[in-house]
Amino acid sequence: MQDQQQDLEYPTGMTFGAGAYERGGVEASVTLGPQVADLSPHDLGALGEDLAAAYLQKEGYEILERNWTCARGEADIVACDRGAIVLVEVKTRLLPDAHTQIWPELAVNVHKRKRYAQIASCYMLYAGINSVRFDVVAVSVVPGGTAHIHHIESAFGRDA
Amino acid sequence: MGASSHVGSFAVKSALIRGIEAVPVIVEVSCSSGMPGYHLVGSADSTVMEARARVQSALPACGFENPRMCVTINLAPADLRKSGTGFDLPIAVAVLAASGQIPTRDLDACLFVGELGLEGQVCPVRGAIAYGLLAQEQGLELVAAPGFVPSGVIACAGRALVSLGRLRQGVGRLPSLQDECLSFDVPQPSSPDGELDFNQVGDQEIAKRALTIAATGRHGILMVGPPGAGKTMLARRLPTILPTLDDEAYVEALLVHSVTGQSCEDVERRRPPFRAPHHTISAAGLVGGGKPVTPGEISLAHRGVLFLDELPEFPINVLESLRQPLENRYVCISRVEGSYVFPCDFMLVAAANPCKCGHLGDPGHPCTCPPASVERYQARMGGPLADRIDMRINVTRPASRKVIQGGSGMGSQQMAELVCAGREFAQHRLAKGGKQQNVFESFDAEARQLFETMASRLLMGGRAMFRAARVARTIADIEQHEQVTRDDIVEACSYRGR
Repeated sequence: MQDQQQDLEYPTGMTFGAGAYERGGVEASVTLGPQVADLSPHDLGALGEDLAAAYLQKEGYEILERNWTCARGEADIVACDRGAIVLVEVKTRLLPDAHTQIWPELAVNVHKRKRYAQIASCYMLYAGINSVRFDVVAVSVVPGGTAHIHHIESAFGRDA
Repeated sequence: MGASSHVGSFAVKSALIRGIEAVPVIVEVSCSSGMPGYHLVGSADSTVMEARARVQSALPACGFENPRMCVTINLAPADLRKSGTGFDLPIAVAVLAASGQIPTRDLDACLFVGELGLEGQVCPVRGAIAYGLLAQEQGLELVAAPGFVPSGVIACAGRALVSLGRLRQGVGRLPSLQDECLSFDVPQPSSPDGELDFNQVGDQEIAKRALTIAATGRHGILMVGPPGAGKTMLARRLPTILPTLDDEAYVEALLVHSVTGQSCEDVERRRPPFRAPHHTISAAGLVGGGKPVTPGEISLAHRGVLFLDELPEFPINVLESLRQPLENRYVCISRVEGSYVFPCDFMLVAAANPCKCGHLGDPGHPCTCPPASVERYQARMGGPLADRIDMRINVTRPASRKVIQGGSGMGSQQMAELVCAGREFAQHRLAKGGKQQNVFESFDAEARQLFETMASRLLMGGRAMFRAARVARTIADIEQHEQVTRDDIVEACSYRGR
C-alpha cells in the first residue's frame, strides 16, 4: 500500500480537461488500473486524498498540512493558493458503472459544512490567520480504474 | 482553474397569472462553478420551489444532464409573488440553454408555459387563454403542452411540446400548437340541448313568459314559490333560450374559466355559462378573492346566468357583496398586494320559498310558520338587493293533471326565437333612434300617464321606476312595439311583486 501511494504521489497519467462543463465537470483524470475496485473504503478515501493533493500541487497550490486534526475534527488538506489559506475537503466515491452519475461533492451537506467551519476556527487560531477559503475536491473512480477529479473553489462560506 | 469557471447564463420568457391576465416574467438562469444544485429566487412560493425537484429529475429522464454547477434561477420581476407550476418548463429550457445542451436560436421569440412530469412530459396549466392572449399581444410563439389553447379561440402562434426531449433539435422543429390540438369539434352554434327543454316543465306558462322577458332584457329575476313547484327546473333551462355567445363574449367567458382551472363544456360550445353555487358559499367564493386572488362565481357566470337557489339561505354578507357587481358589471377586488378587476356581466336568477316551511300562500297547504318567522324570512329577500332585481314572479304549484300529461306549453325553441327577435328589435330600434337618454321617451302618451299613476300608487323610488320602465321596454321589444304601450306597462308592473 505504501509503495502504491508513493507511485500515486506524482501520477504519470494525469490528463487535464479542456473545460469544466464540456467534460461533465471533470478537470483531471488519472488512470489507476482495475485493482482500485478492491480497495477498502478507508483506503479508497486515502487514495482520493493523495490524488487530490497531487492535483492541487499541479495547479500550483502549496500543500501545508495533510489530515490536520483538532478537537473539532480533521481537515483533509490545508493548502496555500497564491497567499490564500484553503481548507480542502476531499470526497471519494467508487461508481458502480460508467453511466451512473454520482457527484461525491453532494455528500458535503449543511451539517458537515458547519463542522468544517468549526475546524476552520481552530486552524485559524493555530496558524494565527484571520481568513480561510473552503474548497471541495470530488474524486469519482469508475470501475475500469480511472479517477475523475472535480475541484470546486470557494464551495461554501463560513455561514454554510 | 480558468476552465472550470466557465459561466453560462440564459433567459427565457414566461408569464404568471395575476387575476385574469398573464403578466410577463423573465426566467433567468446562471450556471457558475460551485456546489451543484438549483437555487431559485424571485418571491417564489412552495409550488414554484418544487419546480427544482421536477426539473432535476426530468432532465436525466430525457437524456439531458443536470449541470455539475451551481445553478441560480431568478424569476424577474423578483418582487412579484410567483405561484403555480407553469414555470417548470421555462426553468428547464433556460437551464438547458445556459448549459449548451439545446440550440438557442428562436428561443427568444417564444413564451414557455408548462408543468413538467418527472419523466419530462409537459402538462398544461390553468390560464391557457390568458397566456395565449399575452403571446398574441407580444407577438411571441407560445410553447406549451399539446392542446393547451383550444383551436379557433384566439389566433396565437404556438408550438406544441409533448416532452422535454423534443427540444434537442430546437424549437423550430416543434409542430404547431394549433395543428397538434386534439380539437373538440369546431364549436357548434348552440344546438338546442338534447336533455333540457322548457317543454318539460308543465303548467308554468306565466313563469316561462317572465323568463323570456328576463332573458331578452337580461333582467334579474326572483322566483318565489312552494317547494317542488319547478323553480329550479325553470332556472336550469334558462341557458337553452339565451343566444349563443359572440366571439368577444366567448373569449371573455373562456378566459375566466381557464384562469380558475375550470373546464366548461357549455362555454366551449358557445353556450352561455350557468353557475348555481350552493348557499354555503363564502363571499370570496362568490365575488372572487383568495390567495392568489381568483375570480369567483359571479365572474364564472360572466356573459351567462348566475342562479342563486334558496336565496334567503345565503348569508346576508354574501348577498350584500353582490350589490356593486350587479350595478357595475365588473368587480374590483382590492388586497394588500394590489387590486384586481374581474368582469361579471351576468344575469341574476334567484329562487326562494315564501317562508321557512315554504307553503305561505299555497292553496290547500297551510303555512305552519309563526308570523314573526315569515317576516324575518322575507326580510332576507328584501333590502337593497331586491331593489336590484328587476322582476319578481310567483311560481305556483302546477296542476297535477298537467304534470302527468307532461310535455306541454312553450318549448325552448319557441322561447329562444322570441328572445332572439326581441333582442334584434331592440338593437334595430337603438340603431335607428340613436342613444336614448331616457327610457320614458319611448312611452306613448297613454302609457306615460298610466306609469305615473302606477309609480305613485306603488310608491316606487327612482331606481324602481327605471327598472320597471326597462322591463316595460323589453316587453315592448318582444311585442315589436316601437313605443311602449299601456299593456306593456301593466305587464311590467305585474312583475314588480313588491
